[in-house]
Amino acid sequence: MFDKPIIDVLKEKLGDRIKDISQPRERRIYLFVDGKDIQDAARIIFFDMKSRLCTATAIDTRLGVEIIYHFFIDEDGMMINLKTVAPRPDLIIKSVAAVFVAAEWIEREMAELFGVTFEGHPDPRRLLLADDFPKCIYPYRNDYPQSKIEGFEAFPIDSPDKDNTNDL
Amino acid sequence: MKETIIPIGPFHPLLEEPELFTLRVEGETVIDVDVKIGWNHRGIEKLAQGLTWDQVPYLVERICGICSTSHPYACVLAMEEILDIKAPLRAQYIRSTVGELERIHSHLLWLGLAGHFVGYNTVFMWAWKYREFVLDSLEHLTGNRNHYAMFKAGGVRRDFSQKAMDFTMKSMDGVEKALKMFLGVVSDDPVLKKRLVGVGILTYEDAILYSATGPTSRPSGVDHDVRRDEPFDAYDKVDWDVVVLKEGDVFAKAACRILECIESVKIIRQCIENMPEGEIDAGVTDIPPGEGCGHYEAPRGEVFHYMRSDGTGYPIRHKIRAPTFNNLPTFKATCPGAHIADVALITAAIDPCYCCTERVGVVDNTGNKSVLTQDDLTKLSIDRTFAIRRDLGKLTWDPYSKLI
Amino acid sequence: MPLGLSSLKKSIWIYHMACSPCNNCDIEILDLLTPRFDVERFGVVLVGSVRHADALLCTGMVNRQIKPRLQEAYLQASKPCIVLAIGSCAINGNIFRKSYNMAGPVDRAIKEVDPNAIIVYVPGCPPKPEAMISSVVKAIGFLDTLKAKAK
Ligand code: SF4
Repeated sequence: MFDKPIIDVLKEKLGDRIKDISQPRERRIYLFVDGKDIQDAARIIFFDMKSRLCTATAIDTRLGVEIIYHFFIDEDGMMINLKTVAPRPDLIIKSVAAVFVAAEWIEREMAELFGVTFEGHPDPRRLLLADDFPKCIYPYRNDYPQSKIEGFEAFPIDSPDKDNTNDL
Repeated sequence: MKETIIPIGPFHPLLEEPELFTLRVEGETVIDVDVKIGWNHRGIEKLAQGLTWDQVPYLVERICGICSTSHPYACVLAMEEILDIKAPLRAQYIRSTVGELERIHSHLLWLGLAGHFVGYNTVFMWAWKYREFVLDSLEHLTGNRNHYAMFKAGGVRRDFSQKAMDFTMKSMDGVEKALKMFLGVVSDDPVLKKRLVGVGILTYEDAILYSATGPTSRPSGVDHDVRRDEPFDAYDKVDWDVVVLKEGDVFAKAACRILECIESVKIIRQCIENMPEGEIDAGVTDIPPGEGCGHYEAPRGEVFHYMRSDGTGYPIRHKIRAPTFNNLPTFKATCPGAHIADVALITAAIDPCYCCTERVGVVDNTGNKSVLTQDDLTKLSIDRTFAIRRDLGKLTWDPYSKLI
Repeated sequence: MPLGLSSLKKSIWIYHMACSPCNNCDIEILDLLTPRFDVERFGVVLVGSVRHADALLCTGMVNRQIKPRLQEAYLQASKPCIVLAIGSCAINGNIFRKSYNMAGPVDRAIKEVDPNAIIVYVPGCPPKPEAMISSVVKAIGFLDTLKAKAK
């Protein structure tokens, strides 16, 4: 589809918004942008470069929650991984779902599992967890098993229970 | 007109995951739909972080019983990307064969349930009858009907025996004949046509916008297939086609699935005929630090796995995205404007879960309550089919005397 | 309740509840209805409402969200009612038992609301359809002993 390598197209379109870009394998590009540029970058990759949003990954790291949007360009078989960081302590970042609807569910999921706030998300409700799951517990954070909250068992099955002979 | 809210689910009598749909309807026309998921949330991504690299394929196999090849497939592709190796040739052919067998059994399963929903229980029974032959082949080849535990980073765990491959070749003949018959049934039957054509259309633009994948978007004209776009394993060594249709309605989705099955039969035949001799395992011992993405075209669309390693025995992050996660939101585009009786069918067409239609409470604005059950909704659906059939002058007897 | 028990033995109506399984147990249950296994020849019918059911087929590890619904559905079933915990997940949580969303396997969830519930365990991941048929037969045998006791 493009007349030059996709990595060059990206450099040209995003300019100095790119903080870091690399192509470790033939069909993978990893690029890093600042949190404030994420909407622009996502818009350019999704609409202008005609890609498809595979999904987004959140990873709890030392700096904050790292968020990777994975785009796939079907015609060239190229995966573009757009990385950014929602910085600690407040973990706030602009919502890509406000740009295109495909990111809506995945951002809802990240919001409830990691506690990231997506600014401008059109429908910020819970998606996966039970309604009575405590609001302040985020199971995918690295500190999860330590969070002891009154009335909430992190691993209910591990509690000693003499009646249940099926417990291994 | 009065606006009514219909909750559908979460428990439903027939199959698969519980899900809660909330429909807002005016008269019999759906104007908005909302989905609540999470009835099946098991925290697998978190569990994967506590398992060794060797155990993770067993865990991801248990994400979904129908896609129990696709998830490990994508997962080991991600691991192999971190390792920067490829499986030996024989292992590649074995993987592709198992993947395609799974595609046939999954599509036949869907076809049967779709048939059930339009009141064709014969199709249900027949499709599931032929599905058993596919499961038999899988049992011969891998040792189990479902959950094959075949995949590991850098190869497969078990070799195919010659006897099992011969059996599979033989059963493929029967399956292909059955598939051709189903194709005839679907494309010739005037009733099915009337019932399915033009229902729940997903336009090309919507499919792109929602990033829908697989047999949800391919019938809408989106020409993509991970197996072709990013070739791996045996898929670039055998001859097959990607099925792309234009219409985007339920009929096109059904046709697309059957045609895909026929392509799968083609792939399996070529894989088994050209099965190379040699090693089946590259002997991976540990995973170096790095990150990798793996994706595979599951029966329902693209499965995506992202893994990150820090060089220890455990992944530090494993992200899994199943196809339905992208396909389900397309309800918002397909359901508004549809007839209530068609909603069961449109939900079926995406193949997440067909019959979330138990315990439907209709609450109208005045506070009166009446309850529609799964049976009522199925009856509505069957009624509609028979009404069409009667219009076509094919039916003189009363359907309910025999059916219900 | 001898009358209830003896009529239960003739033709067991089952209702299928998926409590966060991986789906595989569920399709194997559906397999039972189709021509290869065809449990209708034993009078076993899959029904559309829990109120008509004699046996609940529960699969899966029961997560926090589905647990209250499972208990509610069990209470609505007409008694006597057998609960079949199908698959390793339903028996002890299988590979998911360390999950943060696990709310106890099927037997624990059911026994919270009815300590005297009859629970039949069908191990396997997934159990073969033959195993499920044999478990139903065994459950019927168990009803016989119950009946003898009731007399
Ligand atoms: S027991 Fe196995 S097959 Fe059954 S639901 Fe659990 S993981 Fe799936």
